[in-house]
Amino acid sequence: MIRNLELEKFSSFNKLNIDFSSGINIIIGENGTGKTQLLKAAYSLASLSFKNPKPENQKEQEEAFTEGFKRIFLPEELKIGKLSKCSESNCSIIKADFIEKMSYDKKIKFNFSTRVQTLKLDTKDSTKDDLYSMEPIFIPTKEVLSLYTGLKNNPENKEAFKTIFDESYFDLCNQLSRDSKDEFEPRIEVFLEEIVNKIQGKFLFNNTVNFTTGKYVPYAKSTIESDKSKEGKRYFDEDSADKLSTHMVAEGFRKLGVLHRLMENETLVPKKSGTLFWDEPESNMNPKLMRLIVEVLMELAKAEQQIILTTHDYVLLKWFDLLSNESVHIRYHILSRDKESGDIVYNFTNNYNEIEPNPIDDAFEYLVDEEIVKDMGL
Amino acid sequence: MIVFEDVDGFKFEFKDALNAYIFDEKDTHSPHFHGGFMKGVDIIAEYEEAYVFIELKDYDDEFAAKYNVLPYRQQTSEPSEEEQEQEKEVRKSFKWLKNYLKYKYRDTFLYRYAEAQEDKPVHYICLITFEDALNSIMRKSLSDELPIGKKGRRWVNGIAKSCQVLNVNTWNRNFAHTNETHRTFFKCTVTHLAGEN
Repeated sequence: MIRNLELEKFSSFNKLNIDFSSGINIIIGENGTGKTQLLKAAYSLASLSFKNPKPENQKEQEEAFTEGFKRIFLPEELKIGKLSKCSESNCSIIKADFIEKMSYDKKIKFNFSTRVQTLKLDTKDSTKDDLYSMEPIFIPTKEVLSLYTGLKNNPENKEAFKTIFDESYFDLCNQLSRDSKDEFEPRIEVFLEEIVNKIQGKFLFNNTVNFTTGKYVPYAKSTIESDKSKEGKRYFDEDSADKLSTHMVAEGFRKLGVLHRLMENETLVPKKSGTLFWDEPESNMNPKLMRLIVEVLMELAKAEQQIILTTHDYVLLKWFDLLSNESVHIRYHILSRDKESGDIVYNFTNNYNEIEPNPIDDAFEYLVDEEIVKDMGL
Repeated sequence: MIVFEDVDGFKFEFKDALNAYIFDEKDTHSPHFHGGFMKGVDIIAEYEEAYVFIELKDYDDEFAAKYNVLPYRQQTSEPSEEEQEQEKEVRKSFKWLKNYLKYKYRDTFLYRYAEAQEDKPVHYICLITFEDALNSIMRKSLSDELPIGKKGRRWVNGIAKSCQVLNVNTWNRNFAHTNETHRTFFKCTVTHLAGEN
């Protein structure tokens, strides 16, 4: 899990220091306060550490991280310096502190400025031995299953796709394309069944992605010795051979389908995988499906999966509040813009009622006020 | 300025009102005693443009949860038996409160008819200490049933001009008499006395 993230003179931030909860972290803020940037910064450090676990030398590590940051942030002209806000030597900082397997503390820190071509590793504040090795997952805002199909069938188009999608999309497609397992730990099986029963079917990943309706049912009693091992177990029973194109399936189901797939191929395994980052789970989603998403996330967090997500949706946020209980720790991280200086200000709370300022409530209030003025206006 | 120091735990300061009085008067000798036959709203305020009927309900957070139908409106999966029972209870409470607010208004409206005081449009404001989202749902249900506007083809008059269900914050944000710019004809500050302690 990621314990702490520090950003200085980076992207839209002057200075930001965040302690993350090991449970659920919800980043709230108006548009333009850097929610996605924050998420991407934390993801980049975790993901690039995972991809380059044993760098040969410092130079190689710096180059790999520079390239990775450029691919995820897609800065202007693909120059790393465009992510810095200052020109003095080493004035911009990106730093993260990870905990691996609940005990090993692993730090990584880079400096850079508008003038440089490469990130510079701060060896004093970075762990010397192997890097953080728990693979994170990033679910971006845009729909990803179409891109998955496109990449599978026309890999030659990858270069063209790379001009449109940042690396997090390709990372996720890569994770989705891993083979699924046949046998699961019982606790994972529970999740898989729960999602399938909620969306009343599952997605099948081949060269294309199709949705097939069905549910989990127990194996029939058998007298054949070799089948006896299946007694008490359950399997996915397809309703029919008909497959639905993913485009026919609600966006919320598709998002849960992504989660299902990641668990089915053991990319997302609580306690084993790294942080689950999710940028605006609510995008393109019917508000009625929000509860489903929040329920699944709460269950994952209860199984000790760290989750960091961004939102500006009232319904999603409210569901976290309504379904919250003592077994899951939720921390709300609030980004806002200081009216005078224009700087991004950060604060956090563990209590939903203390979120201040709360742009989501504000937007709701605005609508209520307009309604009152329409009825009782001068 | 017309001030009521304490009406069911709230202080009211009306600005620019032609008149304002406690409507739900229990004292039979009071000039504002309207007869004990029917229900009455708590306060009526008169403005140049309209009458405003005000009804108050003060619930603490825990109690408010018993009325919160919001979670059930978005249920997608099959609820358990226990959840179904809870939902039934919550919906029952919500319906009870909606009917309570509805009949308070309608009865008051009849009193006013009997008193020949129905010469201006009437706005109904319920001050309820729920959060905005739940108040919004209550407002919609109540508006449908009062009803708001001229609902029948043959109606010449409407029964209510508008209906708002607001908490103290939203009330003051829109109506506080100290607001620098007023966008509504109704100007009144409300203070939650219990909330001050």
